[in-house]
Amino acid sequence: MPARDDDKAMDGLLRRSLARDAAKAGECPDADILAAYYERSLDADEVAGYEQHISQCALCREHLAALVRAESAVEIPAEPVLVAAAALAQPAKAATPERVSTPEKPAPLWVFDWRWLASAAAALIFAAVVYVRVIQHGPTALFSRNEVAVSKPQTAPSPPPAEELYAPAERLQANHESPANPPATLKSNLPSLQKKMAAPPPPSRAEKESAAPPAPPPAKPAAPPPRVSPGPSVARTSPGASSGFIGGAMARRGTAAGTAAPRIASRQQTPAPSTSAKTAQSEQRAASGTSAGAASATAATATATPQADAKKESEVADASAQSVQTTAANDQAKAPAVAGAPAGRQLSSLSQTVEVTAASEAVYVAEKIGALYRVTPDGLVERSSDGGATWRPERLKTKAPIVAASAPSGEICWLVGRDGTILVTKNAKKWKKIWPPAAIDLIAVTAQDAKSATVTASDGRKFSTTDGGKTWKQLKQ
Amino acid sequence: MPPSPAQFVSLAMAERLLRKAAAPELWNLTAEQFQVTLERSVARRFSSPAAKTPLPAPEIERYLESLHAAELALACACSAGNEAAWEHFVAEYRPGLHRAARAIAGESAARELADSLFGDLFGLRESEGMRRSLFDYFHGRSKLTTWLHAILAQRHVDEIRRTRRMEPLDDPEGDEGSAQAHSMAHKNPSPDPERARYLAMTQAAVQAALDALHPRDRLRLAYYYVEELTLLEIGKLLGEHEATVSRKLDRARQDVRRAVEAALREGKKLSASQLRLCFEYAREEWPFDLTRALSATNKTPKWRKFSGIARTNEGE
Repeated sequence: MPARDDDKAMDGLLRRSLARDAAKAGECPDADILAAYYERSLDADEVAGYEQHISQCALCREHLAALVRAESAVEIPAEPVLVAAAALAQPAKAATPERVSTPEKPAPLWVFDWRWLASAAAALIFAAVVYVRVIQHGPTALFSRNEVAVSKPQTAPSPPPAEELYAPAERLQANHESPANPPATLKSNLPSLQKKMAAPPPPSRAEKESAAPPAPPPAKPAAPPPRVSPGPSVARTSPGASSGFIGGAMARRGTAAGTAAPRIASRQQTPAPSTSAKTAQSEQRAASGTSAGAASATAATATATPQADAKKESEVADASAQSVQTTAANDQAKAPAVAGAPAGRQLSSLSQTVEVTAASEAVYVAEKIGALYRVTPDGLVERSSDGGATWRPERLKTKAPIVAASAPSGEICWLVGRDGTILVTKNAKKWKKIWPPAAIDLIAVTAQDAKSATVTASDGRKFSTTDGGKTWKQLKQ
Repeated sequence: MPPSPAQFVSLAMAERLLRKAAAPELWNLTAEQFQVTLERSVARRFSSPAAKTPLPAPEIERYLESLHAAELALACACSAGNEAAWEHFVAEYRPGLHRAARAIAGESAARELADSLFGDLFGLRESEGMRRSLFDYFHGRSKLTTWLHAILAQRHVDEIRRTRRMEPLDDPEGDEGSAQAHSMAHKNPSPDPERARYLAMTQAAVQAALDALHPRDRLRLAYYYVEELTLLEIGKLLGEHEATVSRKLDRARQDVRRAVEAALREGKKLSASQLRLCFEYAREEWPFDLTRALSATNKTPKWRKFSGIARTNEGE
């Protein structure tokens, strides 16, 4: 008999034998224990005792199987766009005392019917991803490298009106303050990185615009179309613009309360000035490198990599004004959920916080190897070896979406995400998976070095390690 | 019956945890009420006969600190009949609860399952003339949502088991061995007279090998083969990564197989050909097509990507 037939026989035998386990009535743990066991909040001696029982008790196994299926069904992440819209529609959704005084009625059940929700959300997500990529990389980002040479922006799908996606944003737009000043510190290590990059840096946008080249290439006009709103495009198109990097560290927007607000607010406030106004604003940002705002790290973007700005400028100029407006509306839509809520609310509303903040980006500069890393809105990590011109997905040992990151130096970076995902790299090349303190979604990380970091779980608990994740200690809140 | 108020938790400790819970004033939750709830939780945790008496204070304090104080306060207020707390609970938890009920019981039975739970949480039941809410049984050791889902899961499974007992006995799933043996008798006009003995020996050897496994290895196998959970779901239950689950499943199965072969070869003195017959008869008697079993459920067969087990089962 072939070996695989033996395997099939063994499968049948195992199933039959294990299925004959009886329920051990009277000894089964109650729902409180099962829930705590599932969350692994029982003590070690309790876990050992209950596992001994459950391994022999068919009833308890069935209970736990049903529980994990229920939890998995509930954990299915709501699509970011819908979550953002829902967060806007109900900004005080989090369990706060204020909310108790004016409790809202639950949404109609049909709203949560996944059958139509899933398909609608997938369509909206696809559209959102297309916009983000177009805005970030120009229209060529939608195509492979070979296609880029022959494909032009007109092949990009036309976006639906932004109002349809983020209509609720308009209601809350007035709630936002004017942006903080751009942060002081630009990348101190950026020049060294630029030296390591093989390609010669293109002229900065200010130089390009002031120098007015005598014979611009006919294919790409030097001046962008005047109708393009430069605020979001400036912030989005260059890797520096999409980065929150200060001193080589990755500043992940929105992962910690307060960090997201200035950046989003600043982008939100950019009111589509003219090209000259944009240039002046850019120069002003470059000059104001010493103004305050450490918390607004991510706002220090526009001048971080001017060469990349110039490189992408014309591509973005080709994008339709509508798509840029969509981005602006997108930012406005995200702003209330991220910037408007205090930290407590963000933590109490896990999925919303995660999804909304996941729409942000970050770049971390690995100096030694001259590479840039960023976290995409859909939780992937991408790497660029050419200063941000092209990005490739980084192979990680997880499929869970990455939510937050922290890079204490140019080589060390910690990533956290769903399902207790923790990855760390010491050389910006290999990512090592760290055993999490609990099987729970992680929403923030603050790393001190390759061994020491503090992660924040979705339920607000914080855990710290000083030995690279071998042991974790829960911090008192 | 709640324990006497000052047995484990002082009023000061209850006040401190109540502040930590940040329960709104609208809930009218007093420290005394919260103290009773905490007492009940501590008593429940340390009620086992093996528990040390008297309990060391640091251990109790550590336990109290580990509780989900905010959700315990909500449960306490709801149990006390506070309307604002109940409205808050309904607004925050009802949609998720219905989603979980749908995942557990399907669309048709979900509403009844969830509404029944809501009734018990509200306190429709009375015991000794007093309104009793199911919230009294929440001790704060897990998130409130997880506890609610666990109750849903328990109720649904218990209902299924009750229904299963009412089903006719000739259900092939209920007693697949006898039914299929009957069918095999028809397929096999001249069965090996040793067949039943071989099957019994093999079954006994497998049972012995399973009993010798570590509980976690046994759990993995049971979740995989009986509950038909995905590797991801097993990983969530056991706190392991999918790849780890796959690797350990494969190893456990190999261990069982080696143990069975050793028991039959050395214990029962079977030859290699007799051993092959044992497995062949077992395969005929208790066929188990894992691919079919998993595709019969409404789950994505994620195991395909990972498991060496899956590959061997897909071999045909």
